[in-house]
Amino acid sequence: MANIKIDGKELQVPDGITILEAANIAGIEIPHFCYHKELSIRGSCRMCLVEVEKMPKLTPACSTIIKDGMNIFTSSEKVIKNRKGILEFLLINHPLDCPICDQAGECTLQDYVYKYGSAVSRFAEEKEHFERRKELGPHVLHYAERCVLCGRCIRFCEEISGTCELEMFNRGVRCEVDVFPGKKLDNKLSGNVVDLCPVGAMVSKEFLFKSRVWWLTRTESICPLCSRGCNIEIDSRDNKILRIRPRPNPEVNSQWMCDDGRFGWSFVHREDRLTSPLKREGEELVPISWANAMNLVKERLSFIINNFGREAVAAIASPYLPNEDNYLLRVLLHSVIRSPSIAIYQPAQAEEQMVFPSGFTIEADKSSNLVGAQDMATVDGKQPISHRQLLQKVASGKVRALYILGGAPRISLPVDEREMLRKADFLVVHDYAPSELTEWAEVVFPNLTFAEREGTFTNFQGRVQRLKPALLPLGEAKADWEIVQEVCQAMGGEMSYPSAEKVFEEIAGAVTGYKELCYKGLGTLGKAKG
Amino acid sequence: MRVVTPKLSIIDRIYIPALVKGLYTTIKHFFMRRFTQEYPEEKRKPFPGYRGLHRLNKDHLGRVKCVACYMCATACPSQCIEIEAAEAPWKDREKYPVKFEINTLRCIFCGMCEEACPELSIQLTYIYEMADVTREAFVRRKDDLLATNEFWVLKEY
Repeated sequence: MANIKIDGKELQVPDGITILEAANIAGIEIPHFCYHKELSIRGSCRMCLVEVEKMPKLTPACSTIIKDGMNIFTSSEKVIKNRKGILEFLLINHPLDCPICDQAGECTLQDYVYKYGSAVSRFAEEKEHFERRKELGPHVLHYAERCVLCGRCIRFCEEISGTCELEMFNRGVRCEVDVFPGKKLDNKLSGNVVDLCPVGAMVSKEFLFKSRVWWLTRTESICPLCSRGCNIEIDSRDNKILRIRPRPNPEVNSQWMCDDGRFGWSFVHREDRLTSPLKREGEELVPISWANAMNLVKERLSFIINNFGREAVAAIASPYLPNEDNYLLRVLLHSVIRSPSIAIYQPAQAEEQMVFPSGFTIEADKSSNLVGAQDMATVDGKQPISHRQLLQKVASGKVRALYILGGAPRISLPVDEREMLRKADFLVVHDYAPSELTEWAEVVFPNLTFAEREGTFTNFQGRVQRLKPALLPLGEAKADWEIVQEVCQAMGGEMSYPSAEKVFEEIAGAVTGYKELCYKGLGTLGKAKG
Repeated sequence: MRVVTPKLSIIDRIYIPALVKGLYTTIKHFFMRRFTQEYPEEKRKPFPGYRGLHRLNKDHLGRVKCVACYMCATACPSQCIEIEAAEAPWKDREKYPVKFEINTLRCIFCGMCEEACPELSIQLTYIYEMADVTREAFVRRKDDLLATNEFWVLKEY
């Protein structure tokens, strides 16, 4: 431990940290551009220079290691003058197009100039101009004029993604960030350079001109597109998702997320989303009311139970849906209908696991809650069977009625499995849009996507994390646990959970590994199950 | 509560002086400047700085001057401005509004949009006759706002 003094504030900090980190501990803000917690230190922006007693010149806070007895001044006259000077230099060739810049509102240059800079420019000459906009890759646009040359994007591509597409070209006033000739900024993490950029030089193509950032509603949620469960922030406006950004969680995704998750939310706004329960009439599915749908399900399930026994009813849990839904499905099967056959949908792994040099991994398993669904469907230590085994039972006629939770962002069933599905006498499916599952379904219940609902996902590490609703439900669609609960009630089960939180409390009492958890206690970062 | 009636003097009690005084005011107004205007035959001339119907200005090439920065919509206290930005079809410009709507029923004509505009694109004119028969007509679309200028020339107040 070292004893230091920052702005007259005496404190003890661990050895080996930098002045900037020490100032963070002390709660003192030191403006900086090039420093980033997860990247190597470059010290090129000169914005974080501070005064240290007995040092002849100002010293960069981001790269100076603290020593015992250091006396640091972060807002002395010299430091303030330096900040003002640096900002004036940065603004010399900056186009000052904040009104049409997507970064405005969350731009550090804008904030720093407002806080530490000068309101007028002394620069009377013509500004240096660059090619206005360059397409660096499929998701990223670059505005060289706005760039402050901090090099965060370059270091990101070298250290985190390990793809090294970016470099600084030319010198002096013509210096600009660009891709190597013939290369594209086309890696699975390319969207992160947009978040990393402290100014509006790197801009997301998908979000370009969509909205001003101060109008976005931020909701902390979990990415549903692979089993890693990256912590995300859903930025929405007028009941539409406009962008998704990663939220730091050192245990799961550090500060990053992959482009598949970042830009893969379009299924939420699919044109053909289901808005009311559907019933099969001949070839077509026609909308019916919830009450009628429940009656129909009750009638058909009772008929099958009476004629073929309880074992003829089976269900497939979904690894794409939160724990609450799968838990209530298990309650429906085991406690209400009392049939032992619950299976779990196991998607074929189409992609390989992708590991980046920094350790960030995109999982091969593209379902968000396989571990959780397995936990929920395990009764007395008996693991659920795979959906294929169950479908074979359907094909052989042992199982007559099938209740499937769908909700997969993308699904592709092999042809033989689709044929086996067809053999079921009565097929109930939950899904948010027409899919291969609803092809033969007799009743389809419209469910909600991750952005519209509450619940918990258990990621591949066994970390339980909370989803929060960012959008209003579409039409009459309901969360799956609500639908399953209604079916339970129709089948004579006695339960009424008012919210997903109450279902989770029930899970905490009934499922091994979830005993220590409480819904509120999961917080924004989640908790590992026992 | 007890009402105290003031004790009137003899002059007050004969009423004649008060009557003459009142009549003097009436007769005086026959010879003063007339304030009443015969609206709608006679149009009122707004004072400088009057804030009436909005207009969208055009640049020297006749294109909409607005760059869709949403500053007006951000400054608007009644949230009556709805803009949708898109990539501009011109080379020298990047962003332009594909949709620009002002709900004049909601608008309070405070002029904040005009003050916030960095391009001098939105301005409030002197037009005060905006009556219409449908609610939809009060939602001024981009083309209506761009045409306000021509409309304004016709209306000489």
